Amino acid sequence: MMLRRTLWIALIGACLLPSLALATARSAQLETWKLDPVHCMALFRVQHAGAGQFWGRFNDVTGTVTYPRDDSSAPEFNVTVATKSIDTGTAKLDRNLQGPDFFNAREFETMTFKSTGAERIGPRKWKVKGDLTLLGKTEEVEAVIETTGVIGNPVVAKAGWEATFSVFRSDFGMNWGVDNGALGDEVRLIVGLEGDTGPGA
Amino acid sequence: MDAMIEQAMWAVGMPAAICAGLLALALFVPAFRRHAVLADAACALCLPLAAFITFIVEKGLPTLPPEQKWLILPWTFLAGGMLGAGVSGAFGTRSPSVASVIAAAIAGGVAGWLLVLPDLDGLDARITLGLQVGIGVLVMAAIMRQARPVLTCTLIWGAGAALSLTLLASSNITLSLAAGAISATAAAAAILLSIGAKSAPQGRLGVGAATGLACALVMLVVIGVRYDNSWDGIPQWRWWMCIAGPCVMLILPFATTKGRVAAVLVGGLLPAAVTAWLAIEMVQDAMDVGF
Repeated sequence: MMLRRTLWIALIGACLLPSLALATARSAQLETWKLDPVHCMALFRVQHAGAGQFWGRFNDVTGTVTYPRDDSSAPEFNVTVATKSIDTGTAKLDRNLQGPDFFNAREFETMTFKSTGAERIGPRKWKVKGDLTLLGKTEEVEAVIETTGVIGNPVVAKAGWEATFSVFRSDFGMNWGVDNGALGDEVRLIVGLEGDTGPGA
Repeated sequence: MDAMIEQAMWAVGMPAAICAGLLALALFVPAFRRHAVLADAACALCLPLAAFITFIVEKGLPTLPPEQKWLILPWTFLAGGMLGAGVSGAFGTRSPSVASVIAAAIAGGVAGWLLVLPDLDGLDARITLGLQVGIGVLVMAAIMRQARPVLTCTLIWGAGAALSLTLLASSNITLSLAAGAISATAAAAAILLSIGAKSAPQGRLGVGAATGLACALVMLVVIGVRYDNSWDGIPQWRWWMCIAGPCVMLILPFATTKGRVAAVLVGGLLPAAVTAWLAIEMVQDAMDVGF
């Protein structure tokens, strides 16, 4: 009886060991996380007429993140946002913002962010530098990015990130209303990302 | 001051004031008036220049090549104006038919060949653009040969206003202001010509003015159509109606005394009705956006 139990434990152990080894290897290894557009969004905030802060969002956010589950190295982002997916809650205003005075969605269907470097500022928290391309102009921006969670098993998993940063839209040639204060120059962004890794991703 | 009113003053009022001032110099200062060509060249330059200044106010000095395709527009204003002034200098009041054909061919050819706009890759699209600009120059030249300057300026005043409203409805704020600057300058010119009728030149504006104006108005329509961001898209014929509608005013000088009332009704009220219709249908939507 004792021998039988020992044999069972050995068998289960033998089965679990590769998974454990795989999990350990996975946690340190860089994985590519494909962003899930349903659970990604980019919120922006800009001052209107020198008064209130006005919020809007982009609904179509796609791309990939390269990141190890154990946070042993910095995440690398390659994110694309469809400019036509701008959503302020007012359809008529969305049309104006898609127009040539703002995002010029007719010519520039997307804006992109590609990371170029990162510096750790805390556990699962990084200061990520990257190139933001908007209206055909590329400027370096610095975003504070926090990994908000990693969940799953060695084969299939989900991870989430939240990035906050600010840009001056006039740096990209989007200068409507800057001089007369109709619309602020500084735009604050909060980007929520969720990515999947594994065979289905 | 409200930001929108301040913007309109800088982007429409200021360019119109500068260009109307230049126009007044060319039209009324005796030293300039002696040269008939100067009034034509001044008209060719001043109206497109107003729209060019609007772009500088709104977007800064445009770069060449432009950072965005639509920002080629201020350069086309300037190029059209300079071509017009060049045609005035070269032909003066001689051979207006030949001058208008040459101006139309150059303006249409350059527009179709050089302009890079969205959906303008195919040869057919480029030929269409060239023809639109060329025909615009020919039609405008024909109008200017027939109508007195004050009527021509009134016509452009109406066309620019209708175009400005349409552009605003299509979510093109800067383009709307540029059309507004052309309209306001033409309005100022019409008023100046009416006030100083005795001292104003009695001749017609020539091919030069027609070239500069046609290039500006046609390019505003062409770019407005391509960057139309209105809800369902404004049909092309409504864009062209902005320019064609006020042309009905041209029948006014031909009306006999008996038929004058009818002519005024058709020539004056129809363009007014067209503009009012555009305003009611479009501006309501365009203005209701919060900016």
